[in-house]
Amino acid sequence: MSNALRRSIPRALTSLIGLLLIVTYFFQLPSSIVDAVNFIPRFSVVIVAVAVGVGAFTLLKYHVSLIRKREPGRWIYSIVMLLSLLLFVIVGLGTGVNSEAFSWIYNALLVPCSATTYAMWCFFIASACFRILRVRGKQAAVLLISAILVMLSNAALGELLWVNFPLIGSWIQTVPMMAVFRALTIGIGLGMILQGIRVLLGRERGYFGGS
Amino acid sequence: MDLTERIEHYGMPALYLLLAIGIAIPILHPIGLPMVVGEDTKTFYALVDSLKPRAIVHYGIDPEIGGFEELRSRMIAIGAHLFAKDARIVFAGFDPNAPEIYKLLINDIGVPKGKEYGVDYVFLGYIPGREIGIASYAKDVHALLSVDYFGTPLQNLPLMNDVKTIRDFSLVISFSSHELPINYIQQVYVPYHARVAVVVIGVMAPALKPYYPDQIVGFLSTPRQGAEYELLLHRPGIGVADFDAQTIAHAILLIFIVAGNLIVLKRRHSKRGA
Repeated sequence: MSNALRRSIPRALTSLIGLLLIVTYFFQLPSSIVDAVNFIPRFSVVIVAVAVGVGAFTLLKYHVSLIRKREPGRWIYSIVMLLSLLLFVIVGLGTGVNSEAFSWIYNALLVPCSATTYAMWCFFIASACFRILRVRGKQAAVLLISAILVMLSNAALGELLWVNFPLIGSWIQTVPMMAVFRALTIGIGLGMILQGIRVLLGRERGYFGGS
Repeated sequence: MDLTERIEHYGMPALYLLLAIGIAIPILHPIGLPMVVGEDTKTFYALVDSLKPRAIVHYGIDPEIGGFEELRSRMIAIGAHLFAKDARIVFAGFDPNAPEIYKLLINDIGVPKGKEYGVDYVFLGYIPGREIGIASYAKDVHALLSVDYFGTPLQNLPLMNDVKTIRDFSLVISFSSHELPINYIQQVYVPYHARVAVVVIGVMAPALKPYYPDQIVGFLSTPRQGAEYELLLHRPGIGVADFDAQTIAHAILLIFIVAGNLIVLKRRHSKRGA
């Protein structure tokens, strides 16, 4: 297949499907067309499910190559990763995903590991607070005061000291913080619309390997 | 070595040690510190409390397993409240961890006597595709899925005979540790104006807060609200213990922040003196 065809077919397909979805969203069309278009998102769910399998295969290939090359400092972790992957696949296929064995390896391995990693945040955040929240200037002072007020509003400590601390913490989150995030959200929204237009016009090539 | 140097040198190990002890003790032996129930929790509670008997609710199990622990108390309390209100619950998840979290959760909530699978609650499993999965689910559940997680055809589940599209749900709740609730807003609220409520981990709060209370009707974003919800429900549990631990951790952290600032002030003072 020529290079031009390899690029123009996916672009044309993307534009066509995108336009169909937009038109059926905003306009009343015959039910036969609507039914056909409604099939597209359902089909996408199947593609995503298949992509998970493809992703697992790619992951397997990548880590096998790391092990074969004896990549310093990495190959040993690749063995752990592959063994875990194989354990889940073998137990899942062998005993079924509703089996006690499958649930046990999930609850005894993945849950504690993930919960531990997540819980470590507490120490990282505490360490960062201790090092960074220091009055080195006016802006740092604003950050410090806001952080302390929000902390006091989230814990019983604030209420014990003064009953209005939770209100102040809530105000910080609902007024200044929300103003900033609304602006960000609107900016991201406008960016997404422009990105969508670029995809529909075939000007966005990143999603099929272009630049 | 003077006091400021000692704090600088030993501060970090001491902070870690005190935090570990300060968090572990109240989790093992909850203290039951006093708290005022916030407005957001009261609103969410009222939202669930106002559901009519036999109302159908989508219960989105959408967190990653790491974030689940932060959401756990709220997921249990709200699940128990829904069962207590005689709501019919459709559990489903758009994150791959949903099936295993469901198994943990349903044990924690404790299905009340008389509630029957298929009639009062169902579990549809993990639906891939994230935003596109949510869009397809909202449009037509039966076109997307033919069986539940356990392989039972949907037409054999009486509850699912009353569900076709997202419009059939009185309330759509997403419990999440990532950006999936934004996809609910885009694919469930915007096209169908369904009532969406969101429960997220703390770091997701700034991204979701702007949508509350217009696009989302209920919003919980802190572990403290888990404890508040448990109190409103008169069912104190892990949320209350978490809240005690959080309060002690914050108190320790505040002391260290003050100590850190004293070091800065003392150094500044010494420089001026020199």
